[in-house]
Amino acid sequence: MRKVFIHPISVRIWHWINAGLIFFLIITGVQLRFSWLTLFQYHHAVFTHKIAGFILAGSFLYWLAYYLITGNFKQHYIFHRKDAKGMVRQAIYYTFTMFKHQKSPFTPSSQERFNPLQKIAYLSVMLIFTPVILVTGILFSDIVCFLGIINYIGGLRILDAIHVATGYVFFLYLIVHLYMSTLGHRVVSHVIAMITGYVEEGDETKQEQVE
Amino acid sequence: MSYLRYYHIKILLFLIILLLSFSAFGATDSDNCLGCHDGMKDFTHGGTTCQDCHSDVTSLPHDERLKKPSCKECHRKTAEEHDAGVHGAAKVECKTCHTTHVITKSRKSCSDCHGDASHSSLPSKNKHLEKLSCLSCHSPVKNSSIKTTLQVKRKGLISKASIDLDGNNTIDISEWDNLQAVLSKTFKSSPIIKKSYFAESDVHAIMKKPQPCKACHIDRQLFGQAKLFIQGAVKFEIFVDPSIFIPEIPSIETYRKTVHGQKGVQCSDCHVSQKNIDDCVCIKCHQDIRKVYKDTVHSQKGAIQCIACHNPHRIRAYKELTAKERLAVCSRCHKDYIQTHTWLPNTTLHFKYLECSTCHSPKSAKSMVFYLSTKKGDKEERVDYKTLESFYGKNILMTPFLDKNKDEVVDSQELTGFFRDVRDRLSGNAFIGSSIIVTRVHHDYSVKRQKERICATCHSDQAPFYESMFFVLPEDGFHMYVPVKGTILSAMPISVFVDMSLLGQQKATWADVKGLFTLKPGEFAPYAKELGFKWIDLIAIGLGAIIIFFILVHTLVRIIIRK
Repeated sequence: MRKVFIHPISVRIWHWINAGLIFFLIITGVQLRFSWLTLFQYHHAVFTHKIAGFILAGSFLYWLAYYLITGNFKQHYIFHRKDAKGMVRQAIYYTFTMFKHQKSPFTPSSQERFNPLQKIAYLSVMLIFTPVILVTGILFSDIVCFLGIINYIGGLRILDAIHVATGYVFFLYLIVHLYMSTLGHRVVSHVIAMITGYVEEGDETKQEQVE
Repeated sequence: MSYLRYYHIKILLFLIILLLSFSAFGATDSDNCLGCHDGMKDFTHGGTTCQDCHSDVTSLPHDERLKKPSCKECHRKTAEEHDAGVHGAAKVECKTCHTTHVITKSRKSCSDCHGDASHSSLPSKNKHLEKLSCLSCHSPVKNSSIKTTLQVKRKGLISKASIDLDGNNTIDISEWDNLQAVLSKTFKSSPIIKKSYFAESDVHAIMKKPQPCKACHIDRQLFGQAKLFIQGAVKFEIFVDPSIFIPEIPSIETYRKTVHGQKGVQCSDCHVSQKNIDDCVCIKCHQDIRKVYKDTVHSQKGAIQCIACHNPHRIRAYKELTAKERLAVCSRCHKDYIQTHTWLPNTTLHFKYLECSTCHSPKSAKSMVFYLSTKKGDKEERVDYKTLESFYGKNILMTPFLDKNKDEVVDSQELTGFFRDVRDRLSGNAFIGSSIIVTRVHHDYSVKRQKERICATCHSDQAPFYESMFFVLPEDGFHMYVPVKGTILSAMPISVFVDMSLLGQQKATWADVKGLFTLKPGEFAPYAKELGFKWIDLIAIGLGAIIIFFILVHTLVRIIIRK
């Protein structure tokens, strides 16, 4: 087993801040949606959900700036033609071949961190769902101020529907993301990688990389 | 060359002599008159000379009796107006008011002749006489307006947004009350808002009868526009509802349309004497209400009499009042209601949809009501019966157009169909407005300072008004409260703008999930339509369940093969 450095410190810090914010926003969001729950008082949930949302907006801008300035966006996130085939191979790996003790068709490296399935998941979350939930959330943060825009969209009912539907996407994404994080070399390999920056890899991958 | 110069000098001299001869002739003319009429030394009447009016003086000495000069010769239009008016009929001459030979001398004022005008039949006589000029009532007014000014010494104390809470560029009664409350809170000594009533009219056309009261107090032909000018450190102007300064008075025509009028209450039933009316008159019919009300804190400390809140001449059934009109009743005394509710997030937005008794009268029954409305610019207007009548036919009953299956309940499909039909006919910006109001009144308003301040009382699917929803449909002379099927907020399609979202009605409940599994064949499509926005929850929960199922299976296989 060897360790390969793939996550720089700035990415790791951003990831955990983002993870904490999304977890907190989901919990408070669930409280707001289902008022019979008693996780928080309603007005506390409103206030903290709003504050966490604004911090998430800042976190998103940091992520965007980081990848645009470093030029790593294209390298890690942009979907290439070869990724289409890789996607199928990766999906087959997760559903069948991994149970036959075969190695993953993708090996993360500092040059290419994400497999094609991860790429498409992260790209859609970061460039579609995060902006949508942030914009709708900002509109919710001051209904009186943004009433003109809200009414243009179709009113609070529609804004609420978009925000909640996107929230559910995040919730479902989080379940899958948490489970997928256990599919590394060891169950905790990916989590450790996101803490230390080094991902644990089996010896066979070492050979493959040398080749 | 020298010949030419000599010629020019000759022409110049001739012109000077000509000019001098003219002025000398004029001077001689006036001097001729003043020679005898030395009392007319101050004569001035525009640019006129004596002969302009006394045209029968052709030579001196003139005849002893001259013709009476006619002002009409020059002032024809004014004279005609004068003759048509009451002064003309009373043969009041121009010189009665104007010193004709010294026209610049101040003319007589109304009070010089009418100083003893008693105005005994004018209600609030002093107020009227102090604020208005005689001509405001006694001559046809061309332009009139109310101008109010407020001097603000420092910046940041007042802004347009802090006054015009709904942003429609007009201050209504509740916003005016709020302004008063803000002023008394912000400034140690509350600055005075100066009011002036401006009326442009013709002094010569005095009417035989003064303006009727209704010209200002009902029809608003006069003083129909009011403006507030903020001056000093902050400068802006904004329209004000003129009824704030000139209250509406009862007229027998409008009284007949009130509930009292419709139920046959005669003037003499209440006005038994010249004394002010007290509750003894009201309890003749409303004893039950008085019984509830008399022991409440509100009755003992504030509004002691019925008329403190209710105007017996404008009584409409409580159901006929909009949330805004109901709020205006309370804000007559509770002017600072916005200031005292700053703890409530989005205060002004809440007050757009609520009335005071939604919270402060716990024993009253509350409902969520929907109504048809239009938006023109910033102005929202409810669609009234007159408009619907013009679309569907005269004196027609509207309810059958809404409740098409006649089950006395409106579902989302009926409402959507009716709304789209009206919207197409209106060819305007129509939407479904909504508010949460009291639909069965209990007169105990003693509850104040609701310490709990629990948002979820309303912002939850447990909110009581979800059990009681109505569509308020304008009918001829009244509003029909048609019960609405509870799922309407979630079931209305996206194309219908519903101005209400409470984070309650759009959520799926277990009952909705259970309902899905107990459907009989053929019931799915209508049930699915009724669920509407609730599908967001249901799909997400379904997807979540599928994902968790796959994860469990995946985990199980991993454990079995020890990967």
